[in-house]
Amino acid sequence: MLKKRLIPKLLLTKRNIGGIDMDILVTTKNFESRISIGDPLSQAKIYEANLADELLILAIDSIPLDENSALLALIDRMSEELFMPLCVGGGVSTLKHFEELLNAGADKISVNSILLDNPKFVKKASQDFGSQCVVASIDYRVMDGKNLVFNHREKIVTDLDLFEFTSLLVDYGVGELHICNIDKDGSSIGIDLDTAEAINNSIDIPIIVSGGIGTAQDFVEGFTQTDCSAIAAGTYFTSQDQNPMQARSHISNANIPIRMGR
Amino acid sequence: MIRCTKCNLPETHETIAFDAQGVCNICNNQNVRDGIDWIKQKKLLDELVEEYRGKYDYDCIVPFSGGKDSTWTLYYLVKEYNLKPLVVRYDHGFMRPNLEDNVAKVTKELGVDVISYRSNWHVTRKLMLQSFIEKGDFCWHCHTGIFAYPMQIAIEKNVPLIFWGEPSAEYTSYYGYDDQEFVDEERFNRYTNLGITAEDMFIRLDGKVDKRDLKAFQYPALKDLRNLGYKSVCLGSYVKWDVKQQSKIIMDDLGWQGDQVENVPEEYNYEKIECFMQGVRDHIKYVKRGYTRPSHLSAIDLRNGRISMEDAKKTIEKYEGKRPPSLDLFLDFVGISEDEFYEIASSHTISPWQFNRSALEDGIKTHDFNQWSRAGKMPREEAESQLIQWKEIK
Amino acid sequence: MYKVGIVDYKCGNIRSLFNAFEFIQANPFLVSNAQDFDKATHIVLPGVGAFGYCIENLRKSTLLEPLSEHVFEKLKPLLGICVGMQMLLEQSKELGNYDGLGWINGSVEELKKNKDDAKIKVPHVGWNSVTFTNDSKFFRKEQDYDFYFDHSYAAQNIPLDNIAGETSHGSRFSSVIRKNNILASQFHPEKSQVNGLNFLKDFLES
Repeated sequence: MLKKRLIPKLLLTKRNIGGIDMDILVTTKNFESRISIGDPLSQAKIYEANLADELLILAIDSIPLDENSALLALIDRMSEELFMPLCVGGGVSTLKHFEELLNAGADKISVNSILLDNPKFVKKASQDFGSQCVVASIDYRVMDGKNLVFNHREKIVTDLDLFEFTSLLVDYGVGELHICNIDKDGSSIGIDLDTAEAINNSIDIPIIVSGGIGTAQDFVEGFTQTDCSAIAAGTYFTSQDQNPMQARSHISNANIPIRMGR
Repeated sequence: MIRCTKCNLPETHETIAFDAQGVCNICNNQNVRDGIDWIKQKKLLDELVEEYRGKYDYDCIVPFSGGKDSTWTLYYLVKEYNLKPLVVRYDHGFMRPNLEDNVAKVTKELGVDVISYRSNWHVTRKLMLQSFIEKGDFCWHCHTGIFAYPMQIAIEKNVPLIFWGEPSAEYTSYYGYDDQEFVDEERFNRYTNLGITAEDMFIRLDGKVDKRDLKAFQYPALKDLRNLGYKSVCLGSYVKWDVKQQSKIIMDDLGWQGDQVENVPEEYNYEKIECFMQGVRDHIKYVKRGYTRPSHLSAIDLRNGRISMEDAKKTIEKYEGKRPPSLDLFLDFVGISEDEFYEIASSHTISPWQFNRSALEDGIKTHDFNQWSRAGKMPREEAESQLIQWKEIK
Repeated sequence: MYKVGIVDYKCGNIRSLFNAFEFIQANPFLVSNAQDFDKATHIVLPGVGAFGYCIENLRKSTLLEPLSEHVFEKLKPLLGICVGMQMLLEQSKELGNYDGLGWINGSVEELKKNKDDAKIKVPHVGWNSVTFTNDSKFFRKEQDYDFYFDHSYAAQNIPLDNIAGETSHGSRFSSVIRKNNILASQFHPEKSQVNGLNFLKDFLES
């Protein structure tokens, strides 16, 4: 039976630590404030040791991939030491970017901003590389009862309806969908269950939900109510006495199919 | 809270999962342990020991705290095999007088070389506060020091064989008995380092320490360990672990002595006697997860059929959930108030437990309480610079 | 002493595979021309992307003939992964009708979304259990083991003798196939952590 997935979210940025310019991981809150978490490779290895099902690695400074050698270098190093699925994104806008990341060791590529400029891009990407490696990451905000797509780069809410937009992308052949409610991001108050459930029911590709996990029970509720394929969490695993192995036991105790290590 | 029908551990225990009968995976894992062919394992141990004997400056490294497990490990390797071990000790800075006596007695009696290392207190107290804030566990320096430092010595001294004590399956389900539990970087990352390596800690401290100050806590690179030809194993994978029997042997043969521990029944005087911060450590667990040392100790006895569920519950009722006197020292060491302590600890609560501070009673001081050094209080401004970030998140 | 040759026909995630074999100390190297096959003790055929694109690339490269020679005449163990497995079969219906190598009977068909069960989503992404038909050094047939899958098409109509492992997603499909010295998996062993590395170790010893 296909198991539900626990996916740690790794957000990559540049920061000056003790006088040294470093590429580090941070967690965010409402896509704004950032808390330094650690070294990307070190954290990735920790998650692998904790049997995380997959890693979602996103460079969040809105730098085009061509100018972000750090991301490619990181994926390269990761594929030397990690033997787990990597979904990578951040400034991906061309087929060449896809090729470079896949060659460096990524399994799936997440696209975000390009979807707003040119949603048809995913059609070509899916044709060339296979839909199974194309993940559409969409951020949204709920305003006046409507789910509206958020433009991460310009930092504005668009007037695109989340449901219509995702439906379009599915038609274009995207393999997986990752949705994140900005107001839940880093809040630890629980995920947006209603939207996730509705989206999951409206499309027939797997969805990954992120934004808001605060307790192990949130995972249980998330899987139970929405039946999403995967839940990604950033803040949850880094700022308290929790790790994927503990979360997984909790989820298993609720009779949700989850990988227990064999 | 749901509790295991056999050992009474609650659902908030790390990695616990219950089967259809309500028995936990740690109890069920014992069946695997009972099914192990210990004769075959002993033969493997004989072979392992001979493979390394006499080829290096030391036959093996024994990471050592002076507690019952590492003492028994050292005792067994010297007495059973007449090995020449290098004893490596990470000194966390909170060793109790009786424990230091034990270490002196045991190492003299057995005749072994000892290396001991204690890190810079200014760095240590920063690490304690940071890991307490971030993970609700102030012992990061100790966890990582104990497991990383001996590996560095192994490389430095060119001693590839490293013997640890009991396998973790005795307490949690991070590994099963039928997993080959090597004490390696994977294990270090799985749960030893609380999800934070030395590199991560430098970043989390925002570069407030010298990078060099964190070297002792860094697990060596795999390629260096592979070049060494390292083999880092638990003695408990080859020899059946029985803490009651083993404690008795080291008491009788070496004069090792147990000690009183804050908020723990007298009859468990062989457990966790090393560190004078143990009471605070146990108390934090209670605040976060609603159970602590007495539950843990009685769980082992329940699993081995030594006590009844009724007696276990009585012990827990009598000893658990009390304020440890050592909390006063901890507050000084990391420069925070008691209110801040409870606020931070509570922020790491594991559902569905909810801590009730008003129901708290005072625990009893141990006999050596006044001998514990209170030197090195953290200046408040220093603590505040670390608390600022936490306050921002919360 | 193993020397694992990974066929580089520009259609697979070579890097991760290479690293995985390196990690288990199997001395991997890339096979880019006919002579490279000579020093291999084991051969791996990777494959990611669309079937049509991959099989075309393989046929276009100069590697197919020597590959065939080393597999069928020199009887070197071959491991096919993901599309590398699918190409070994007779045909695939992915985005058209394509001929495979026909080295093992069977075809590649779309994983059907089960209309009655909304839970079955395609692509089949994530960790799913494999039931092996035989015991091996690392796996027992009475137990299920989780491996990482990421695909929309799967092997069907495999002769019973050649089925080495099965998985369910909507329908049951062959996730591991074997014929003589040829072994192949639909899942990615190089991405399946300990189970995956053990699967590769099993392959080395075959």
